[in-house]
Amino acid sequence: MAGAGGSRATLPKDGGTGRGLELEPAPGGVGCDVSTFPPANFLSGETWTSGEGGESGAELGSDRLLLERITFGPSYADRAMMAAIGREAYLARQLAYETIDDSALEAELSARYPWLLMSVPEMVAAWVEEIDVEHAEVAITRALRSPRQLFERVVEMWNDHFNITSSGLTMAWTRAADERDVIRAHAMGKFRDLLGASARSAAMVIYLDNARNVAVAPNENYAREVMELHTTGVGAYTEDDVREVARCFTGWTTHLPNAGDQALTFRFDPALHDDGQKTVLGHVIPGGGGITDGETVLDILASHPSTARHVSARIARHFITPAPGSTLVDRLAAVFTASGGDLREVVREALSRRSLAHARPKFKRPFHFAVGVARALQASMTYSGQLRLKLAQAGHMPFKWETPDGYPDRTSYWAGALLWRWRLAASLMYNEMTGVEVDVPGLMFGARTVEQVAARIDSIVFGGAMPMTTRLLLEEYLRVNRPSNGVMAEALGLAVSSPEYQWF
Amino acid sequence: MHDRSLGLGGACGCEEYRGLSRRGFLGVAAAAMAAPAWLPRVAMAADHRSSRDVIVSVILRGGADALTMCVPWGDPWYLGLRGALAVPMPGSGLNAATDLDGYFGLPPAMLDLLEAYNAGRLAIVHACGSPDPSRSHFDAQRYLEIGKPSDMTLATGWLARHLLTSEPVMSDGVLRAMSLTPGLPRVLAGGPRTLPVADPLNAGLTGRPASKASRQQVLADMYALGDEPLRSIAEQTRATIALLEAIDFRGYAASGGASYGPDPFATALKSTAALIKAQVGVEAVSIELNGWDTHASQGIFAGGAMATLMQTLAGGLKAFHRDVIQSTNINVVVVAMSEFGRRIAPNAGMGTDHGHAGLMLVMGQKVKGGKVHTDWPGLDHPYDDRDLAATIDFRDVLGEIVRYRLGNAALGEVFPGYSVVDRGVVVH
Repeated sequence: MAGAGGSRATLPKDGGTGRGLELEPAPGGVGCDVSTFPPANFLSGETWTSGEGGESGAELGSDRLLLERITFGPSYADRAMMAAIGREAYLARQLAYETIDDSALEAELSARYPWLLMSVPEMVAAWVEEIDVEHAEVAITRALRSPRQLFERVVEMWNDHFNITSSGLTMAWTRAADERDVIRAHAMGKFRDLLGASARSAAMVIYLDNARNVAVAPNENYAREVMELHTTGVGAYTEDDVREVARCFTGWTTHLPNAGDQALTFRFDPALHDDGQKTVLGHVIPGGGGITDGETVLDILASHPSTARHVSARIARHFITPAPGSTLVDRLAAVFTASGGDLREVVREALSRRSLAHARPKFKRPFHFAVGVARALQASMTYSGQLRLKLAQAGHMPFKWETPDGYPDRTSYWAGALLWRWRLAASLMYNEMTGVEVDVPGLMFGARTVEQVAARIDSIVFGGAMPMTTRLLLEEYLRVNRPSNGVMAEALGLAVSSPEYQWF
Repeated sequence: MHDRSLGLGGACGCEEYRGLSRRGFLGVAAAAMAAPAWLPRVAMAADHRSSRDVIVSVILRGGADALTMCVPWGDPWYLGLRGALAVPMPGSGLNAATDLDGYFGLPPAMLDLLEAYNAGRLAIVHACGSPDPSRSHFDAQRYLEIGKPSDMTLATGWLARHLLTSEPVMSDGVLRAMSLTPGLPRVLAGGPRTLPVADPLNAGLTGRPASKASRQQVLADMYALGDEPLRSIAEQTRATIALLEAIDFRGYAASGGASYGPDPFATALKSTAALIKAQVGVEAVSIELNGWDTHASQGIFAGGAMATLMQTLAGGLKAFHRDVIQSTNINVVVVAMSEFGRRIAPNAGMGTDHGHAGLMLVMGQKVKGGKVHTDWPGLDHPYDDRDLAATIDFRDVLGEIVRYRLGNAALGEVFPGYSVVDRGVVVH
C-alpha cells in the first residue's frame, strides 16, 4: 500500500459472475491482495478510489467530462485526485497552475534539452541543432507527464492560435523561444499581453514576413493574419485596414543571426517605418508615432468586440464543443470583456458547469489520442522520439503545421485516419516503441478472470464507463484466445482502438 | 451525428442489447459483418472498365504565383509591373521564359511540363479564379474546395458531391476516393467510401501476426455497432487494408520511361499511378503540394524557393504523364489548382503578397492540351487596382471536367448556385 496515502483502493466492479476463464496470473501475483492495484508507483502520494465513488450518475458523468476536457486523457492519478478533493477544488487547482509543482519534470527536461533555458542569442552562439525535433519531444513529454494538465491544454490551444511553423534552424530557435516567452508566459494571462508578446516575437516577425515589411513596400502578411486569425476574425476589417495595419507595423523586425548577444531578437527600425498618418478600423493614428503605431493597433484589436468573440469562440471550440452557439460565445466574450481580456477567467467560465452543459463530443486529434493512450496506460516514458515520429506520420507533429491557422480541429479532417490509431495502439501495447514502456502485468496485477481483466481495462481506459458492447467484445476476445499477458495487452490495445475512445 | 452529451460512455446504443444474451449479442454483431463487401477486387474484368476518367486533384496550397508559373511575356505591362520578379523574355538568355504560343511562356523551372504540353495532353487555364474577393488563404481554400465561393456553411467538398451524385464505377468497390494525405481535405469531405491514407505502403495492423485477423474482427464488430461517421470509416478502413495490401506499391515499376523523384509529391503521384493501374474502382485521388505563400524571397530561378516547388510540380507531372497518361488506356484527368494567385507588383522583400486570379493545370488523354486557355484581362486592367483579374471561374473548368470527363450532369449539386460556362478545356 506504499504511497496509497491511507485511502483504500476499491477494485472496479467485475460485473460478471466470475465464472470466466482464469487468465495466467501476473508474475508473483497469485494470492496477492488485489487492493494493491493500481500499482503504487504512479500514485505519487495521491489518494485513489475507483471512479464509482458514490456520486450520482449525472454528477459522475459531469466530473468525468470535466476531467476529459482539461487533461490530455485522464490517468488514474487524475481520477483519484478529483475523487479525493472534489470537482471544484480540482478545477481551482488546475486553474491556479502556478501552485502545482512541476519542478521535477522541468528539471529533467532542461537537463536533457539545455536549450530550454537559453535565450535565442545563446542558442545561436551554441548553434543548437535538431531543435525542431527536440522541441516537439518536449511538447509531447509535457503533455504526457506534466501535472499542470489544464495549463498544457491551454498552451496547446495558443500554439495553434498563434501558429508558427518550426522549419530550419532560425525558425526552430525562435519558435522554441516563442513557445516559452510568449505562449507559456501568457497562456493564462491577459490577452493583450499575449498578443503584444506575439507581435514582438522574432519567430512571428520572421514567419509572417513582418521583417520584410518596410515603408517603401509594405508586406501585408502579418497585418492580415493578426486580424483574421489572432484577433477579430474576418468580417471586422476591410482590405484598406489590412494595408493600413501593415503600414503601422513597418520597421518591426529582428536583429540578424550574426548580431551576437542580440541575434534574432526583436528590433524596431525607425528608418524602415512609415511615419505618416494611418486609419485603422476607424481610428486615426497620427503621424510620427514610430513603434507606438503598432502598439496602438494591438490596443485597438485587443479591445475590439469581434476579438472578444473570436477568442472566446476559439476557447469554446477547444474545451466545450466543435460548434459553439452564440449564447455560449457571448457569455465567454462578456467575461473576456469584463475582465479586461483575462484568459484565466475566460477559461474558468468555459469550464463551469453551465458552460459545460453545452458540451458535445470532440474527436481526439492524433496528439491528444497518442498522449491520452500513454497517460491512461501509465506508460513510463524516458524518451518521446518514437511518439514524435508517429505523430509526424499522422501529420500532427507539434510545431510543424505549415500555415498560420494552426492544426485543424475538424472531425472530418482527422476521423478518416483510424488505421494510424489502431497501429499506434498496437505498437504501444507490444512495447515496440523505444523509450515508452507499458507495464501490462503491472496494470493487470491481480485480475484473473476474463471479467476481472475486462473490468480492469474498463477502469484503466474508460474510468469505468466502457460501453457494454465494447466490454462484451473484449471479454469474448479474452475468452477465445490463449490467456496471457500478450492477449491482455492486445485487449488493452483494442480498448483504446474502440470507437468510443476516439472522442472526449 | 453524435448525440452523446457526455464525453464518454453514456448512451452508446447499449439499451437495445441489454435484453440479449452475450451469445445473442455476438450473433448480431457477426451478422452485421457477414456481407463481404470489403473484399478486394484487384483483378477487375476489362468490361468493368469505366468510360469515365479517374480524376486526380492536386491542390497547391498557399496561393501559387500564376504570373511566374506561366509567364504572360506578351503582355506589354509584364516586365515593367513585375520588375525584379519578372522572368526574362524568351530568347533573352539565362533564366528566360520558353515560349508556348507567342504570348505565354514557361519559366525554366516548369520546363518539365513541355513534354505533356507538346503532346497535346496538358492545358493551362490562365487568369482563372473565384468571384469572391477574399485574400484569406483559409477562406479562399475553403471556397475552392467546397466549390462555392463566399459560402461559410457548406461542409462537403465539390469532389465529394460529384461522387455522391454519380453511380460508383464499381458497385462493390472498396473505395471510391482516396486522399494521399494524413487528414482528409475539404475537397473530399463528406465523400462516399472516401479515406485519407498517408502511407499506402504501410497499411496493415501492427502487432502479433497470429492475432491480426481476430483483432481486426473485434475492431470491425466494435465499429459496426457504433455511431457514424466512425462506423463507415472503420468499415472502409478494414476493406482498404486488404485492398492496399494486395497492391504491390513497393515493387511498382513505372512505364514509359517515367522516373519519379524521391520527394513526397512524386511519391504520392507514383502511389496514385499504382492505385489507378490496379483498377480497383478508385475514381478520385487527392494529393497536395504546399508552400506557395511566397511573401518574401520568392526565388523564381534555380535554387529559389518557388523554383524548387515548380520543379517538383512539373517533374512529378512529367513522370505521371509518361507513366499513366501516355502509357495506359485508362483515362485520367489531373487538375492542379491554388486558392488564389499573387499580386502583380512584387513587394520590397522580393516576394509577392496575396492576389486574386491564378491558373489551373489540366492534364489527361482527353484534355484539349497544348494550349493556354484564357480570356486574358491584361495587366493594365487589374482587379482591385493591383491583382490579376479572373476572367474564367474555376468552376467552369471543374464543371466541364465533372460533366464531360466524369460523366456527371448533376452540376447544380456539385456547384450549387452556379451555371458552369463551357470553356472547351476538355474533350466532350
